Amino acid sequence: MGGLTVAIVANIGIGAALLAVLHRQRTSDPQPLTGPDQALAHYRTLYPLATGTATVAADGRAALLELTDGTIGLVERRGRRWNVRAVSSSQLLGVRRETDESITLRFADFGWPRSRVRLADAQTLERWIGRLAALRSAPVVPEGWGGHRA
Amino acid sequence: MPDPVYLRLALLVQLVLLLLIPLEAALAVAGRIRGEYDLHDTLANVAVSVGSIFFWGTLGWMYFGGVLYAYHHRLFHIPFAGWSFALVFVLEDCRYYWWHRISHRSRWFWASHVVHHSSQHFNLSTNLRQSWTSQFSGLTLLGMPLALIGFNPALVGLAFTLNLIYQFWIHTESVDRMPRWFEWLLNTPSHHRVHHASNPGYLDANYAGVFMLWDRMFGSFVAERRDEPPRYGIVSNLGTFNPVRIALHEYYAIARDVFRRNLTWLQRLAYLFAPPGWSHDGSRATTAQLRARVARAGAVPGGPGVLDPLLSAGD
Repeated sequence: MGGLTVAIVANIGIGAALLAVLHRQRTSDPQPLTGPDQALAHYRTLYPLATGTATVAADGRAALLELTDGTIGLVERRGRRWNVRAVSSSQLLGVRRETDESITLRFADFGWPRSRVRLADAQTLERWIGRLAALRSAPVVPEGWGGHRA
Repeated sequence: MPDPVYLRLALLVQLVLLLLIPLEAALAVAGRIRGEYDLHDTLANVAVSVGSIFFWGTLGWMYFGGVLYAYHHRLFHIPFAGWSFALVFVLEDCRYYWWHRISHRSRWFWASHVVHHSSQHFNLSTNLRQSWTSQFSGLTLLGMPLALIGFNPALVGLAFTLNLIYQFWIHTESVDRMPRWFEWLLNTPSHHRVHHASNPGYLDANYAGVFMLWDRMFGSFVAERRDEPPRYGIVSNLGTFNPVRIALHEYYAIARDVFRRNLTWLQRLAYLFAPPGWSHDGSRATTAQLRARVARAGAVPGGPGVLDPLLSAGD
């Protein structure tokens, strides 16, 4: 029993030490997106042929992309990484207006259930709500690479 | 009742290994060694490990019960000796290789194992991110043959444990390359970085636990290239640090696919057991298809350009 107690205390101590180390590191988190070009550059790490325009979130933590092939893309910071996904009609469950400037996209994806994007102003927000609503009413197209998580 | 000396030794080993995690994190944060930690990612690793320990603790009897059952019906009597342990250690590594390979090549088993690959970082804390469902997947049956042959379950269990302990140190970016003989014979951080990378050229490679012999023998060995840095994680990365979602997301995706309308039973079975990325309409890509499409599109395997060729291929 004594050994188990020592093990539990030591595990908690190790966890606390790790937490302290990583908490210090938070000050060096990645910088927010600086502009549409950077958002597109992140998107191109998975879709190198993508071209279009990007709307960068007001806090620089995400961007919505209107691509020239008619598709929509999303770039979002997740911890210290920038993750990207195509927003397809078959995967987009809905769009919810959170405030006058932010929306939440809900996906039919247990591993990426939602994304919140803070837009710069109400006008931009309305435009994106309209665009995403149009996408949802569009016919379902094949998922492309969506299901491949190998 | 387990031997108290054995238990104390196990606790000591566990604590020493765990201590290496904050040590690596501190050195990496200070820039003294190569490596990257993320607070959210590491917390997710810890949370997933709590679930994994819970499920092993409550359902581990399925594995050990299977081994004991097989030993009860053993074909030969193999003595409990040093040589038999050496032999079972090598054979256990071969078993691990095939368990690991199947875990990557069939979606049902991948759904369990993907948890370990879902981190976009590669450090010692990645060890903690283990499956919650390994007891359900059925692959624990692969633990039985060695006991069925006649190896003592204690030796089989010890070989299994030592195999996993060996794999702890290879989850790091801080070690570049080991000496050539070592890299040829044994699994190393370099080989395992390849295994955890999602670059098409690196996918489904280096399954070995300890001896690289199996990958070299069965054609799955891929060396790390200086001009192709590993991109850790899975092809379509997760958008969450929620441990429940990390542990179960692929089962949800399988269920969505299996219960689609207008599929034949064969197609439903394929969504369950075919390689990850298989689809009935060719709208997704398996590892082999990804590599072929990247090559067709003229992209550099492993570099950026993984998925667009797939979309533009039109098949």
